[in-house]
Amino acid sequence: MAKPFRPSIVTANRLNDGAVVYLAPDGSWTEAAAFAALARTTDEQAGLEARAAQAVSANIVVDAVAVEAEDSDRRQPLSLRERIRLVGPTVRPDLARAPSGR
Amino acid sequence: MYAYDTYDRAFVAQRTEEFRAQVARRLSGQLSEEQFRPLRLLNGLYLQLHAYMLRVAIPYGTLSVRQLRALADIADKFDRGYGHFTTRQNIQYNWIKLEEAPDALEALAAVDMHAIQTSGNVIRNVTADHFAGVVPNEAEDPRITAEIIRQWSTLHPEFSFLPRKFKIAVTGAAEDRAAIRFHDIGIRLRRESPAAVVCDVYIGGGMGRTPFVAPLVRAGLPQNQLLSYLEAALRVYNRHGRRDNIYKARIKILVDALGVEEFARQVEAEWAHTRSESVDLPAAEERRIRAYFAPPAYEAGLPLAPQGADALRDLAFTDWRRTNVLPHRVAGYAVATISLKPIGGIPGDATARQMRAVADIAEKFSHGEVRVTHEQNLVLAHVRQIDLPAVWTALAAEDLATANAGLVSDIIACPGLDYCSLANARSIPVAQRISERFAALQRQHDIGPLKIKISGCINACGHHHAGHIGILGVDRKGEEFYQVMLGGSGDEAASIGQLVGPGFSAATVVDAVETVVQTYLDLRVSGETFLAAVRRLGLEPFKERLYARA
Repeated sequence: MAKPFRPSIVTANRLNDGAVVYLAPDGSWTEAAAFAALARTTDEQAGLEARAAQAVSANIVVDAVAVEAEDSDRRQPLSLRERIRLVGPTVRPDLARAPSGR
Repeated sequence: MYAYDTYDRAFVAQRTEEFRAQVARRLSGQLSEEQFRPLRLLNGLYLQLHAYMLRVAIPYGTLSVRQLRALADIADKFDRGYGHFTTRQNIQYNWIKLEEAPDALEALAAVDMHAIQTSGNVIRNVTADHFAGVVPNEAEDPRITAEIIRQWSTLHPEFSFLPRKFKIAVTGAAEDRAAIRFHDIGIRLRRESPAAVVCDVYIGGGMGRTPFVAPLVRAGLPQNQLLSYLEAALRVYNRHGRRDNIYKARIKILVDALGVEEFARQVEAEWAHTRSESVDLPAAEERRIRAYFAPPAYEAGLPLAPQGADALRDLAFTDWRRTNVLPHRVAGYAVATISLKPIGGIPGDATARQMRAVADIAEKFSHGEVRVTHEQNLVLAHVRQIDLPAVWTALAAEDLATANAGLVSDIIACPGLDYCSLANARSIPVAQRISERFAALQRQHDIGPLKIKISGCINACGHHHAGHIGILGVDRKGEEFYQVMLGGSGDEAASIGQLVGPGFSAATVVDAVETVVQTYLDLRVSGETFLAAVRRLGLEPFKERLYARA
């Protein structure tokens, strides 16, 4: 049985500095998952992935991928790996990024 | 220490400029990521969870103070003020920007360093006993052999596209501190006669998904024929290694599949050719390299112990000296381990400020040389006994005087899921919590020698297979779980740890470690180390305690 679809956002690393970024609704890339475009259907996710692929081709980001996220204002990724990517190493709170990207 | 000649410097500078041009082409879009990735990896630049990571080679873990200061400057200028010393005696920077990576490489090149062959299916940084040249009963300083291998293997055209990465370690002592039998090739230098040092060559060890302890493939190899023999072994591997399956591509799989005798036979047959191909080093060149590793000018007639200093009345100094200081082969000197494992700290991390402090201390008190250990500590290898109080005072001022070398809180841990894109679980927080649980030094000494090694995935960068207690982080349906292994060892009696049973959650793994340690304390006989007790008792008593409630 196919896995039920879960809302997702698209994340990548920015090419020039490697920073973790998220695809925003206007096609720009933001460091704040909260400002990411949320896909609530497979079609919406495919649309985001297509836009991300364009950004990869345009050498703006690398390793773009859709990841499951909360359907909330925070858009927080669900997996531990992605939550760590969002805020930074858990062992260095002094280097942590706020989920808002600041 | 070995120093680059003009040819070396010109080459590394050229290579840096080549990479600068490649980065520019990538940023301008002339190179795709697919085209660029192998080029950046050839220069030690990975893309990890948060940013690019630069892995810098520290050949056999030896640094000059000038180099260490340069590493500190790179941490400040191109990273976030710190670096991470690894289990291959390297240093990694976690926050490098692609657009600045060429500048970081240029800063390295200025002090005769680079990041070449710290990634990819090539012969990686050659490691060696971190106490090379300073401990008693050593056949000779293994860094001479390691440097010869480094020069032979760097950009070796035949071995630039091996089936898989390839790691070589060298020791000159009977006591193995370099874990040679967990390497693709491990070399033990042995003095066969007063005039002759020979090589015992172990091939086919490794950790990762399928751990093996390397068998002895060639005993008593004449030292001056080592390179042609290594060339023959690499050729057999290059020819038969499983390029079709990444999980079966390491030489350990080939040696196991062929059997040691057949593998050795094939190497000998190949060696019949390579021996006549002038691969081996000319004696004059060997002497030239050897001269770089001549011992420093030790003073004679020094006091055998520190005297008169205020620190001698400080219990913390006494603890540190007892725990982190070893006798030197030269009377009046000592070998001091600088623990990068403060209680609750991140194993292997050092700030730029700490690096500069160590450089200053080494310059003043240890002939300007610093060693990096595969256990993620630093070593001052040439300290006068009378200077130990001053060294300790200076280290303590920078939070570098933790007294725990070789004890339960001196834990190896890979970067794990906090940094690494391959990891399944975090390693560092587990190490931090274990060190906090066992923080009391008196208890640590009561427990005695105990090596805990933690990896965040099956690739085993944290050497969990070789831990007296090994811990492997796994992902179980989105949750971090930790498998516990007992009885591994990377020393001269190498062994692979055995899985004790079902894994433990992040919340319970530290309790599990304490249960294991307490079981040992309850069951040991007088003078018996943890490892000896596990080997005598087997897993059952530990299993009974760990899973008693199940």
